[in-house]
Amino acid sequence: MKRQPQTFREHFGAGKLTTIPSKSVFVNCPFDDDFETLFDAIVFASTCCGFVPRSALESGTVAESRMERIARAVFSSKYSIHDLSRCRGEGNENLARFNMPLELGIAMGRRMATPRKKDKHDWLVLVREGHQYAKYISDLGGFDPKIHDGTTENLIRTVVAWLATRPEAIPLATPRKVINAFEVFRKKKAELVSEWGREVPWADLVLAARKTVPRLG
Amino acid sequence: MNSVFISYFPKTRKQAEALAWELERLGVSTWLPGRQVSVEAALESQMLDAMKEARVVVFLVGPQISASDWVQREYRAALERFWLDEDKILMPVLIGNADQPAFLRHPPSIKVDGRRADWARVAKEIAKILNEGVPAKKSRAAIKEQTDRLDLIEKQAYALRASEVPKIV
Repeated sequence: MKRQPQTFREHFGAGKLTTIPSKSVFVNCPFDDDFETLFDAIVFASTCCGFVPRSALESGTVAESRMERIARAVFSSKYSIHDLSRCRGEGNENLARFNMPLELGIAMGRRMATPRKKDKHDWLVLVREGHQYAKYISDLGGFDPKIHDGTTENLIRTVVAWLATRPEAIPLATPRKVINAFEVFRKKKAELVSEWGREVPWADLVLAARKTVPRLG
Repeated sequence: MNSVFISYFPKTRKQAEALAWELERLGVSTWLPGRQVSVEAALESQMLDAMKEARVVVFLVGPQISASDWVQREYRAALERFWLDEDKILMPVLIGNADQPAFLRHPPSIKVDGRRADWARVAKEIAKILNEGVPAKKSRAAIKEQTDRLDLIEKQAYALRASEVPKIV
């Protein structure tokens, strides 16, 4: 029988598209409109520190479950950033979103599954001021989540201060310069949105961030 | 007011104390964080105050040791203080073949073997820096490192973009 043609695509982080885990950071944050600016701030700050931002969004609408995509991205990133701000009751039904803690759990599993200390996964957990995380994920108590006030400026400072002290970080401009450049990145993203609507390819977003990084010298 | 904050790994505490002793002999005040977990919150607050006051922050780095959570907090605090006050001097002191922490990769560093006699020399160098400062120079190595990494990010992003076009096999 003649073999049927199949469509396939290689996934970022696999095969010849393999990334370098020690220079990749998985971003685990809400994707909705309310959080969009903060999400962009984390992506941009990560790029400025010399890391390839990874996300569940990066492989678009391929025939692979979301959980598989997330697990693959986490397992090919040495670092991850998790914002748990949305883990609280919302809407008429007062439901909380638990994707973020679930993905943090995958990151923790990756750390425990890595034998060599220098390759172990490392993460930054972010929560909003006044957040009650300790009441519903008390196991996180010892992990020192970082508190932010919901502004991009504060969030960029927090992310840069953490990533810039990782062993694989590159020298970077001051956070003030990163914050100033972020507005330029947002304009570039707006241009991408006007072309692509809500389906901006992840690669294009990363390229826009990379082209906006404030240069040394 | 403490002129020099000494950040150290638990295994380099003795060397940190030796350096502090030599600095005090030269009339330079120092601050070494304690390590009592039971008072960690108070210790962190004291650490942040001392970091703010110090003119020089010394990072004593031993060979083949990963920075503990506490030391990483000191790294972050030092970097955040430096961003607010660029006159603050961050000075790595590398013992043996220790790797320079990434965020300190390009400032000048002091290398020592870790012998007792080394600390008098290091103390003198730090006292000199306190008096004269570190000559500011643009680091070409830092610029090259940033350029190379951004090229890598670009390459990876283009690879991802290429992968978004489905192929027929």
